[in-house]
Amino acid sequence: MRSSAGSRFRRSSHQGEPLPTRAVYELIGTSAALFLSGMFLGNLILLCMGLVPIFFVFAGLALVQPKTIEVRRTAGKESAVVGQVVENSVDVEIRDGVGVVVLADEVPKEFELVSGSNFKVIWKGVGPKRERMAYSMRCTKRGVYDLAGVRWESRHPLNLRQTEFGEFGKRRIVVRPRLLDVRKVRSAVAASRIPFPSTAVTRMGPVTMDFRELRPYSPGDPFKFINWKATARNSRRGRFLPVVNDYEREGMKVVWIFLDCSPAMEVGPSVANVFEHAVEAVNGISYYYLRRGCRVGLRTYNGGATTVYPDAGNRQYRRILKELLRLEPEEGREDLRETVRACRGYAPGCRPLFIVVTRFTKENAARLLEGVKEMARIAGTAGPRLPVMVVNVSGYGLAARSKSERMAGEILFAECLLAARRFRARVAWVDWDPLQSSFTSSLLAQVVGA
Amino acid sequence: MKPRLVALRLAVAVLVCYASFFLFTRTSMYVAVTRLASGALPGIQPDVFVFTLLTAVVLVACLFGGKRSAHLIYWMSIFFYLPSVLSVSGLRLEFFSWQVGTSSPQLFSVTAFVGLAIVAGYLWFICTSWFEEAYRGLIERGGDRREVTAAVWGQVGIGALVVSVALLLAFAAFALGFLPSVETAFGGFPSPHVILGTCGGLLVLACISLYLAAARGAQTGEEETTTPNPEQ
Repeated sequence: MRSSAGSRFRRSSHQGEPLPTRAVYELIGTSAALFLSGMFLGNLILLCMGLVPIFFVFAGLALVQPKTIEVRRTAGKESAVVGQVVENSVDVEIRDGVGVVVLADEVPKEFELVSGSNFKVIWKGVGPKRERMAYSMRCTKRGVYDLAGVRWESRHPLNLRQTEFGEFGKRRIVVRPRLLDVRKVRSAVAASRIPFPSTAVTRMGPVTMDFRELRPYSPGDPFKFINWKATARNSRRGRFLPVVNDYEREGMKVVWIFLDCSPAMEVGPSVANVFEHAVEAVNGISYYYLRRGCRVGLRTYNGGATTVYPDAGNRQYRRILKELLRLEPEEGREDLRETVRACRGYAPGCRPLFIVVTRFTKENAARLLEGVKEMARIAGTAGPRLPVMVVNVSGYGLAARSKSERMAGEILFAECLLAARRFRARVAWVDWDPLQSSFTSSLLAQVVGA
Repeated sequence: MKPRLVALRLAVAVLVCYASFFLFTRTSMYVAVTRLASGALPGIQPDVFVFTLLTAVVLVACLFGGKRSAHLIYWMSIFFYLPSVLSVSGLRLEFFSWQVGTSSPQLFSVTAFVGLAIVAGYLWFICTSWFEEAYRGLIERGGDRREVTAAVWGQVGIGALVVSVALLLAFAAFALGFLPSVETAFGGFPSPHVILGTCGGLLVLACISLYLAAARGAQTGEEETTTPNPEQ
């Protein structure tokens, strides 16, 4: 997180004076009318009455609205996590002029103002003025926000000159989705129960330092992999063939994440709908598997066709995050089965783990089943347990506004669970109600604790 | 904040209105009006009747006139003031045969001061309308009520100062004409108002032209500094 403290902006002082407003011309017109009436009627009083607006205009225009405005951002972050409260502080110094200065620090409409105000009205009298605008905002939706920064208006005290506008310090705020609670998933039990992709059947790929097993030596194995202690123990039992350490092959564990981007995911308020929570789940899952050395790929279906090809490392996480920040639900024709088929060529010789993040309903059950079958085909598994994990983000609670609606939502959710019982036996199934628990808790309770 | 601003505006308007009504009572037109009133309503003091009527109209305008109440009161002031100011005109028309009851120099000065006060009061009305509009706009945009109130009261102070300065300067210009030396110098001219008006008008026109030329020059200079030279 980088603070933009210390950046200072100053309005250029060589700009011309702002032009008079329409009021000035109206007052001059009034004055002229009184002058002409006085001249026509030979009336000195009317002539003198015509002087009042003129003197008012001249005296008013002699007042200069604030020109030298210095703005300094003393607190503010450029990167935050969804739900995080960010403190912002802007110091303003106005040195000259008399008038009203209005400051507004732009906050995206998706953000929530927690305390303070991002709009400040300052009366600048004769002397210099220093003010501070402080507020805190909650970042409620992930994304990349390009903001105009602090916008100012300098108003003439008598509305005789046009208002001047300007802005200082454009800034960009990147709001990332939440990650999994690492402390909880790091435990040995959790790590062993959370589905993990099988190793590759192929021997391709560079060897990592992750120990896999001991096995007898076979021609071609490097001598440095011979485990001399194990070989010595074996020789006592009459087996003289050397024993070698077998290590995991790099990049052979592939995780494909499929994110449902259909408009049906937009259930709930715009800043915290099902899709937003699904993105959070994808972010957490991809981070978790990348940390464990897997190659992770991302593909959207039912809307758009965003693909991040499987790769490993921090750079891959940033690549996935970049896509997640800009993803929005949209209409699309490619369903899960077609998407899975399109991805089969990107991980040859391995059995990937497939993770589907969706909102399960009775309407999309058949398509999801087709997709899961296709995944089983690619993985080459015919056993009772498929290398598939389905994350079902429940949206009924998010959309409910009253107690009765919540109850109706619970009934609908129970119906969905019934419809999903065909899947639940063969895949790792995680039901996540964002209103009830965090994704980490749901994952641990349903997959690890199952 | 808003009720205080409205009260301030109405107070000035009512003061100006009663001042112009005072002048109106010194005209022959007022005599005609009271005569008409006493004929229509026998047994009622015409002065009391007209004053009560005016007060009732002002009160109704203040209470139910809303934003336009001060506007209405100023129009009433101008209506009351016109006979007085027209009666001191150099140009004599039959229509303007109503005269001020007394032609003493003091009343002439009072007429002038009330005239200046009406214009200054109307300027004050315009200013406070702008301030009220600004207040409403800033509150609607989410401004803190205390900050906006402080800003608008600052504007009110500046507005009151500038209007007072304009009024005093205009009255000083008027009083200049009563100085003996000025009277001696300009006493021989057949139509001093034409000379004064022409000079004043020309001066104003020159000031405006100079100001606009300077503003345009500043803008052109700004464009020149920001436009890149293609040959460079």
